Formats: sequence, C-alpha cells, structure tokens
Amino acid sequence: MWDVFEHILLFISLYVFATTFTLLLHTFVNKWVPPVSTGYTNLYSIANTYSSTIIRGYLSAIIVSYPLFLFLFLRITKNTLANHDLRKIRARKIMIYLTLVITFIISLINFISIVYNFLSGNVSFNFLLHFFTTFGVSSLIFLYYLNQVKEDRQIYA
Amino acid sequence: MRKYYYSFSIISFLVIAAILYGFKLAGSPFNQKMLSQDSSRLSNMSIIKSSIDQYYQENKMLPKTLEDLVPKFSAKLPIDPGTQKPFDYKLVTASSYSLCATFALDTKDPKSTYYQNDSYLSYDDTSNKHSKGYDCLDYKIPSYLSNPYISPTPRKTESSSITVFGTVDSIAESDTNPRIIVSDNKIMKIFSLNNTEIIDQQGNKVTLSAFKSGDKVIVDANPVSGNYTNLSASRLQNLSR
Repeated sequence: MWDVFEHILLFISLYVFATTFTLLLHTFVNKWVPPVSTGYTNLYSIANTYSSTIIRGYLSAIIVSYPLFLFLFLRITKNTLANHDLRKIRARKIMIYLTLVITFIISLINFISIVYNFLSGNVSFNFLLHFFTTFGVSSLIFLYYLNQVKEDRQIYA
Repeated sequence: MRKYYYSFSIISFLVIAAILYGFKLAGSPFNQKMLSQDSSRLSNMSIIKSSIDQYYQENKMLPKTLEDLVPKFSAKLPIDPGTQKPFDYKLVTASSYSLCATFALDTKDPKSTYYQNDSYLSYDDTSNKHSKGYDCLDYKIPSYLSNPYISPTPRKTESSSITVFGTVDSIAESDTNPRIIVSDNKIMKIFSLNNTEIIDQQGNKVTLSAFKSGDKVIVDANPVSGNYTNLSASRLQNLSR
C-alpha cells in the first residue's frame, strides 16, 4: 500500500514539474526570440507574454516539485530494480499508461498545430522553438515510460 | 542504477540553470523586498501628488509644506515604507515641486531589469524613474489645473514691436492722418504718425516739418491688427538733424 502511495506522489510531482518546467522554457523562448505579433492566436498564445509574476510562479512550483520528484523517482527506481514484484503494482501500471496517453496527446496536438501553422503559413522561429520545447519534454517522458513498459514485459514474458 | 544518477545529475544541472535564469528575468528574491518597497514609495508619492492637485485646484497655489494637506486633502500623510518618515517636499516653481525619498534600486539605468513599468505616470508625463539612494522625482501641476484658459491665439505683446532704420522718402503732412514713408534697404514702409513721439538727434521734441527727405531716421513701430504692412509709429527720431 505504501508503494502505491509513493507511485501516486511520484506521478503527481512529475506532472507538476514537467508542466511548469516546460512553461518556464516557453517564457525563456519568448525572451530570446520575441514572438512576431500576427494578430492571430495560436496554441502558445498563453505563453506568448512573459511577466515576472508568472515566472515567479513557475519557479516556486519547480523549486518545490523537482526535489520531491527526484527523491521519489530515485527511491522507487532503486526499489524496483531490487524487487521485481513492484512492477506488478496496479497503481504503477495505471499511472504509467495514463502518462503515456497524456504525453501522446500533448505530442499529437503539437504536431497537429505545427502542420496547421505550416498550412496557414505562420511557422516562425519562435513557433518552432515552442514546438520543440513542448515536444521534447513530452516525448522524453513518453519514451522513458514506453521503455519501462517494455522492461516489464521482458521480465514477465 | 548508476546511469540514473548520471542522467539525473544532468537534468538537475539544467533545472538549476533554468531556475537561476528565471531569477535573473523575474528578479532575485533578495531584490524583491527592495522592489516592493520602491513600488509602495512611488504609489505613496502618487497619493500625495493627487492630494496636492486637489489643494492646487482649490487654493490656486501649491502648499508650503506637506502638512498643509492634512486633514482636508489627505487624512494622513503617506510615509516612506523604509524609513517610516514623511517624504521630503521641495517647491520648484509656482506649479512644480519635487518629492524626495531614499530609493533602494536604480530604475534610471535602461539596462536594469527592475521595475520597468510606468504605472504611476501622471497626466503631464512625469516619469517615475529614480536612481539608487536619495533621489527626487519632479512633479508638475497638470496643465488642465494650472492653465485652465488657454487662449487660442498668442496675445499681442511688446515684443511684437519693430525698430526700423532707414532714410526718409517722403512725408505726407496732414491734420488727420500724417504719414511718413521710410526706405529701409529699398523697401518702402509707411508709418502713420498718430500720438507719435517725434524727436531730433539730441532728443528734443520737434515737429514733422523739421524732417527732409533723405534724412536718416529710426522708427519704433507696432503693427496694427497683427500685420507688418500697416505700421503705427510710436517714436520717430531724426538722426541727421
């Protein structure tokens, strides 16, 4: 039961950390490559302005969630490598598949938006950087947990 | 397990770098306190400014000291949040003054990332930029208070009068409308001589009959009804006799 609890905490902190870290990177992108105003809102219009208040919010979320995530992740990974029974936990399977679905949806929406922007001729460097930020983070998480699913299958083949 | 430690040390390094860069953009936590103090200083100054505007509207003058505002225009004078003392108030002109305080940060430097917004800009474009340490912000009474009736055309003043050096071309002596035509660099100018002080070289009063054509004269004249072709001489001096 304790392991179930730990897994749920791990995934919650992962979501908080990954989301705020990506949003922080989006504000950096806007700082480095200011967006060209087209009078047209795209997927990232929420991140198209950066203000110190919002950055402070992201920073505090990262400062809290990242050490928690790091601690839980290393602890669970160590336990899982030592004890294969942990891979059978139902909560772990559910959370992994949920994460796979969520990151897949995010990547899918990203690809759709870049194709849409390409078709309407609005692909700027700023937009590409935003795309690679979101896509990079979500695909990293996706690939890691896909690999975990594969490992689980190999062990219990 | 070792590969996890390696990869997470890289991720942690990236995260720390992002946090530090974020602090650089959003202002480090050590600066935030100073920043919020400066911000409330500026907002307190803007409260005082609006009280002074009210005072000016009622009394048509600036208060001698800030205490004159209490209690009618300001129930309690806002104070400096850092030193807990009232702001310094200096009269500059009849319609401008400055408020001084010790600021914690510099916002005059265009490179500084601190507090770039001008949310306390007054009606007459007074800037709230300040340098670090003791600094004064200049405020003006808004023009709609200090100058409520702005005339559409400039008023005729003494400065519109002209002085002409020239030689007398001809004299038209008449009882009702005596005139003198003076050639100034081949340009003829006609001066009507009503209520004109006519004097000779020494400054004695003479009549127009003492003038001959070819005499050097100096004429002070005012344009009649604003144009410079119809001139009324106020003083005519003969420099030749």
